[in-house]
Amino acid sequence: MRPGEPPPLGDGPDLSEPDPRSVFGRLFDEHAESLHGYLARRVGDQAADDLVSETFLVALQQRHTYDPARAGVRPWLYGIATNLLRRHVRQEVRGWRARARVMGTDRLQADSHEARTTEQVAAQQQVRQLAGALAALQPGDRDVLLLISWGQLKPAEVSEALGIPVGTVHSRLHRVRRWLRSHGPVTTQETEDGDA
Amino acid sequence: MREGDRTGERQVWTDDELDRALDGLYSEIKPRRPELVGMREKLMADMNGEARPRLTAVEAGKNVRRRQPVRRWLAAAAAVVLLVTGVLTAQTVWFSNATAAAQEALTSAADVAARAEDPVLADGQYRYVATHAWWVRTTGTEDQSFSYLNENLMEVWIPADPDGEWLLRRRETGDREWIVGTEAEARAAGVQIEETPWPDQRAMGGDFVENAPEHGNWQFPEPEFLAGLPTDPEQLYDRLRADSGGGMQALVYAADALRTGMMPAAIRANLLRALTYLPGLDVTEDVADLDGRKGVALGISEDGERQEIILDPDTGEVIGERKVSDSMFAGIPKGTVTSYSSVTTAIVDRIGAEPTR
Repeated sequence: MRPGEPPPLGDGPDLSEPDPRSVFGRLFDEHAESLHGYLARRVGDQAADDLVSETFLVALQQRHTYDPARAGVRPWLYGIATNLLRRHVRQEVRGWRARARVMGTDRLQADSHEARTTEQVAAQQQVRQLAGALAALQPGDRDVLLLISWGQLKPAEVSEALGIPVGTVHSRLHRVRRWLRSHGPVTTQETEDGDA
Repeated sequence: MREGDRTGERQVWTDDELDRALDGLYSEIKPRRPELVGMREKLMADMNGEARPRLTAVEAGKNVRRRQPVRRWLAAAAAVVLLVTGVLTAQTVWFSNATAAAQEALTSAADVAARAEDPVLADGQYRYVATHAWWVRTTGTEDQSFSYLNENLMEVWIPADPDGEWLLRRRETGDREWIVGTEAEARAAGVQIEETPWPDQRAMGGDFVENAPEHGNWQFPEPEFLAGLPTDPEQLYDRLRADSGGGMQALVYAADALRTGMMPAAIRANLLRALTYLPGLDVTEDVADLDGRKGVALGISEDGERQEIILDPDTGEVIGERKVSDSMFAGIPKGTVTSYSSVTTAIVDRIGAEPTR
């Protein structure tokens, strides 16, 4: 931190200042990159660019509705982003399905042979399987799972972000993880080649 | 039910395995800092509009929406120029090449490699490439997680005529180094440790994988691919950077090619010289021990992970690779070597035959 620079905003900043520039500039600096990473993993880099911009614009417009006593600012931003993401659900699902189908080929072309391959073939199969499983989830379930896994939110923060009871977060998370644990893994290579 | 899951036909992940798979999915996506700078500028510009009297805001309001992509793009482009300038300046000071120590190690290894004589295969003979690879495996039960380095042996037999039949054989050696938990604890918890044996794979021309590129690549450097590489080391580095994406990946790609046993001595030497242009590459250990073979380790760090190749200074050959984790995952401490592999090559008379020692 440079001398004279204010301390980090913290979890519940006051966003209702008449001139929002300073506080929103810092809000952006503290959260935009991780938010972008979360969104990019769900809908790709380009859609994520738009969504990050939109999220901060919506946040700016709705800053007077933000109550630091009720929610942390990070869950609030992720909640806005996840709402905006809903317009991209079909795009997201298409993306997962595409990844489930073709993903392997690029990398396999690059790593066509030898040691790295054997490990990566298995890894790529796993990625495809998992992507396919994610495509099959209900949007609400996927939000809970990925806000926690990729957004690094805690269940209580997911509850704040999505405006659903924390008990619902826990039960959705439990259900979706149990389902993924049995639908994510690939049957290993040797069982696929049943006759080996 | 949980017990049933693991013994049933369908494989079931532990929570750790699920987390690991989720972590791996799209983890290659990198932050787009230049774009973020543009977005920030746009946000600030919008706020300037809002903070000022309404007369411009109303008028701008509609147009802003329509023009948004262009404005964003321009702002981003301006930011890119700024950032690129900044990066270049920083690079000339710090990272324009590999460090002096790394350049010295590479150049001297390249000198040795250039003088090496390539083994000549007689008809019917095979080039044998054995890779001993130690990879972290994490497994567990509902409430316990175990991690260990697991030794895998991959053997490849390459025929004198590379279009002929190749053989790839893989197995676990049974050697393990436990990182989290012990073997006794894992067995007591009912964890399945041994993997099911892998079947032998045979393929004409080494095409073990469908859709392999026709003329080879860094991972599978066929003669046609090698013939197309620049002979000037700096140009060769540019090509490597372009193909791999640069940085740590450049080192990975170079190592991929070097340990295939398919590169003639002159090209191996050239590639080592090309690596002297790789920014951030440094000597990370003067005498690294890999399965009892010693060499100098050259490494590059990126995103909390360090990738290293180990060169035998006496032969100029890559004897192996290492990867060191710099993040905590599934209880694996920071600084743990998460994978390493060593490569040996030989000539054998029969497919499937191991070299006599």
